[in-house]
Amino acid sequence: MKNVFRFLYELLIGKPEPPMETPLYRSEIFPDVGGVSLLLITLVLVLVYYYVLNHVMRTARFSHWYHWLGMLLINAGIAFGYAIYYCRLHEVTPDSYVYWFAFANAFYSALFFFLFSLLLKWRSYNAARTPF
Amino acid sequence: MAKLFIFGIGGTGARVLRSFGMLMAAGVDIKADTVIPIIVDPDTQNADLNRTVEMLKSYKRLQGVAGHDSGFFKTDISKLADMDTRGEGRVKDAFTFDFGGINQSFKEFIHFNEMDPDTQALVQLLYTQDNLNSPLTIGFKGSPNVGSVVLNKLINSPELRFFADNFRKGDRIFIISSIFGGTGAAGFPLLIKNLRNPNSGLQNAGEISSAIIGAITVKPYFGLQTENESVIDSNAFITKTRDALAYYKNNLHGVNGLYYIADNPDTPYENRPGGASQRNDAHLVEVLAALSIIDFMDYQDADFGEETLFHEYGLRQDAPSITFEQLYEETLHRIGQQMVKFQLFAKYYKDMIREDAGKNYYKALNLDAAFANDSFHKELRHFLENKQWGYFAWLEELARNKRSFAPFNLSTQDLNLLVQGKPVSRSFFNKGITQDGFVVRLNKEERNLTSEANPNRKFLKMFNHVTEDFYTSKMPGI
Amino acid sequence: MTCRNLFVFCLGILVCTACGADSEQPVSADAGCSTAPAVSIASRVDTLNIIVETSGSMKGFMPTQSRQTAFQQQVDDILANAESNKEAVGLLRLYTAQDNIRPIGYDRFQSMLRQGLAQAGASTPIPNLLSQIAGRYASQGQVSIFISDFIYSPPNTRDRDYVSNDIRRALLPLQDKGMVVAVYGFQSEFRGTFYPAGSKASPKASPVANCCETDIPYYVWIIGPEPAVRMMAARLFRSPVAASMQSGYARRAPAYGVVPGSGRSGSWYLAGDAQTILIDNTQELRQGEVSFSVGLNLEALPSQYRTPDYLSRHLQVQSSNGTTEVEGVWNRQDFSEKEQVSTKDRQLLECYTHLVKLKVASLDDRNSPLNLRLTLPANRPQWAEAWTTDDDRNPNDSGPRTFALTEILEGVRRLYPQEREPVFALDLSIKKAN
Repeated sequence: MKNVFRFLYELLIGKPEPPMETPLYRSEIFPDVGGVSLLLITLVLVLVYYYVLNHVMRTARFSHWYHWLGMLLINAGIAFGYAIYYCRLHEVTPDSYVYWFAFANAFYSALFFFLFSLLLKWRSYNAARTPF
Repeated sequence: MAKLFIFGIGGTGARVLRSFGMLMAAGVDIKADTVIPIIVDPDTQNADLNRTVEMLKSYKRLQGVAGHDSGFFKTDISKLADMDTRGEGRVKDAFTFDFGGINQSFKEFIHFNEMDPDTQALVQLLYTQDNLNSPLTIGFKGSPNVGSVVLNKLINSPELRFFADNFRKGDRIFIISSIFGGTGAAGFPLLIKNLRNPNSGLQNAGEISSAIIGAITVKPYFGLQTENESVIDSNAFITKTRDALAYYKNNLHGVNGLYYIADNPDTPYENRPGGASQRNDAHLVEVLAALSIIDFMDYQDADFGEETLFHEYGLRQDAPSITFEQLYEETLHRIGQQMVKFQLFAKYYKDMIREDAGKNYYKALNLDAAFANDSFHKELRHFLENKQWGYFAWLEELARNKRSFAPFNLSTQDLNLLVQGKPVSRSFFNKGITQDGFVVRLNKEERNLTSEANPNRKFLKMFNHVTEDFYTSKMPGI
Repeated sequence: MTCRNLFVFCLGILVCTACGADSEQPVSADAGCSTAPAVSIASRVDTLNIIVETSGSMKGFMPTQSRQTAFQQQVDDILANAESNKEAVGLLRLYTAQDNIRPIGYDRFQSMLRQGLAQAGASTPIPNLLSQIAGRYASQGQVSIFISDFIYSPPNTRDRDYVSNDIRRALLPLQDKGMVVAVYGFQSEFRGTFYPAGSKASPKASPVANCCETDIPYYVWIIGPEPAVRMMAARLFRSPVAASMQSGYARRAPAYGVVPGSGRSGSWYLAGDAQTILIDNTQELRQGEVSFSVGLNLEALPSQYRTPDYLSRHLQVQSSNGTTEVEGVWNRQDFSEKEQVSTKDRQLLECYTHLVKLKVASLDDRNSPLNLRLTLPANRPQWAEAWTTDDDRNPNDSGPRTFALTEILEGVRRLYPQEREPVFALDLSIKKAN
């Protein structure tokens, strides 16, 4: 799993900068942020969207594609913020890499949101066909 | 179950059939497999007749898609020609009776000029000069003496023979006529006489003569503005009615169930003797008359004996404007639920469904494309919204007529206020009937009705279930 | 969609996401130094012997009619420091050493030191005195301080070639008892007759009267168990003594580690431990783009090995599968000024006294690790060369030097076998990250 996240992030933003933070990124930040933000938070938001907003709440008000897109963007925003927050929490050496990482995380969170949506939308009462 | 042949005689017959068609569209129950309306009116230019025919054609196309179990449009209304399984084309493919070859005056019709002078003198005694000279194509203009002669010829028409060929034991016959007009008043007793004659020479004459026959005789419910030049004088309605009733009393035999309905005329109709200008707004009495057909079919064969069962209709409460509140439980029970459901559906379909683009069910049924291309939706929209004969036009006519029948608030956009006088109760947590509530339920039904392969039938079923749910859960007072 | 719906939607999202807020505990930023074996420093000695040589040659340090000399000041300091540490010193004994070592009363010692050495005794060869000290004044619980000019003039000229062995032989009991010797060199004015040892080549030299225009060295030797010697050295001298040599201290591998973020180049990073460097792209190693700094905690080392000068001269790096160079050695403060220090390293740097910057010059097999060994050989301290002479007959010409000092010190060093081995040998490795 560590290697998967490392592969994903480094594919997009290259090796950690400064290099001294490589172990911190690879062994903690990438897997932790990836696991929590990409998998957990994204999954939760997808479930919230499909099975709380558009299922349990008994309303179809939020089933438009733009609600879905809004949720995706919120998720990306959370991913961006969480990545920066987590880097600061671990006192990573300040570098533009932190922001690139946050961007990459936002990007992947959107991607994962999309994939999770495809996987999970089918049993939602009111959004089984959102975004399409 | 069996077939029901409905003879709608004259303009009134056509108008009652129109309301009957609307009730059928709403999915009101009738205990018949197939209803075959036969409109008997020589005045083929009659606008009332044409509106009814157009409506019935549209209904038939929609019913062909909807089938028997979609909730709406469930009863099969067929043309007489549809009975022709052999496809011989013996009768015209229409709901109307073909009065071919009567494009002539009554004088010509009875070959007045070829009569000997004695007979001519007798005829001149029985008919006014107007009667003799007026063309038959506009009907009998309130002259039963003309109508009776012409309509007697019906017995030899291909339509009637074709009807007889297809009559089976257990089928029923219902006849709608007005007592105060020309065509109906004359045609009704003639028709009964011919049908009840086991020696009429028709196929299955025995079966027909012993068939259960019901009829409604519509007594005057509107007046006409008095115009000196017009051949129809509504002041004579009452006189004619009284005379006709006296005639029926002695001479009308063989009707198993006879319904009478009448109302006090209020605002007179414009006086239009016939043709394209005879176009009267739909009236409560026609709706109630249509109910008599349903009521008639509710009786078991055994309920009918030697004696004629007579029925009249009464409102629970007299009012210039009738809503569901003024109707008795029995009527409400028959039509209330289905009318409310259909109205919810029609309203939603007309004004709201487009806003659902992007919703689950909408996408699942690919409604954008369906609305654009599917003939079913074109037809349905036509049926509901046609300015001449459509459902909403019918409701508006009923509402603006005197006496007015306005069960629904036609101007509101709030579904909770749809039923006049019976607003859906709401609270902070219960918003009553909302578009969102519709969408949620439609989404759910769309998922549940996976077995229904036909998207249009599924569409109707979804709305039938959803409106049913709203009706039972949100409208307990109706 | 109406505005109200949008509002409700947003509110719903906020509520949902607020629940998901993270509540992780902040990770402690305390780096923590890797711990080297602890240096034990005694808290108390039972007996402290202060032995001052009082032969004729010492008279010039304690003149009777002259201004006070640095020697007098220094020795009085030592005495005062010894007295003031009552809790650390059980019993303070004072001795003079002439032909023999004799106890002396405090008052007499004081007056001898301050009023001057009125009666100097006959000179006794240094090895004899050392032998006495090593024999009688060195044991557990006892520290002896021997103050002398260490001018060793063997009676027999030929013995001059065996100075180091004589010293070693004299101190031999210390080896058995596990005692150590710490030598501190000082210099002082000298007012009197200087008795030179002579030269290796020539026969006995004649005393130089009314000496000297130059300072003359003298030495404070502290002999005893290592913890006690460490304690006394710390307490007796207020400031570190530049000319010093400790012998016999136990060898302790210093704590060390690669500093991750400072004084570096290349894209390497540390593996879990601070001794292994990982690098994704070994090409950088081949192209000489990689340099890194190693922190060393040399606090426990004998002081002569700790000077940046000594380290710069002697620190070596051997590498297998490539070549590595030492780019420089600095103490912590100089390193901080010279190199860009990552803020994350500041705390870590506190763990180290010195930093060595290494540069990888080449790499042979890119798939094999580059193993480095950082070694510091144990050599005679640098200062000894400046303080020694082969001919002390004309101190005014030769300056403050002691006859055959290097050999005396060598004798001490040879006493201990560990002084022939490197002070430390530290291993590092650079690997290709997988």
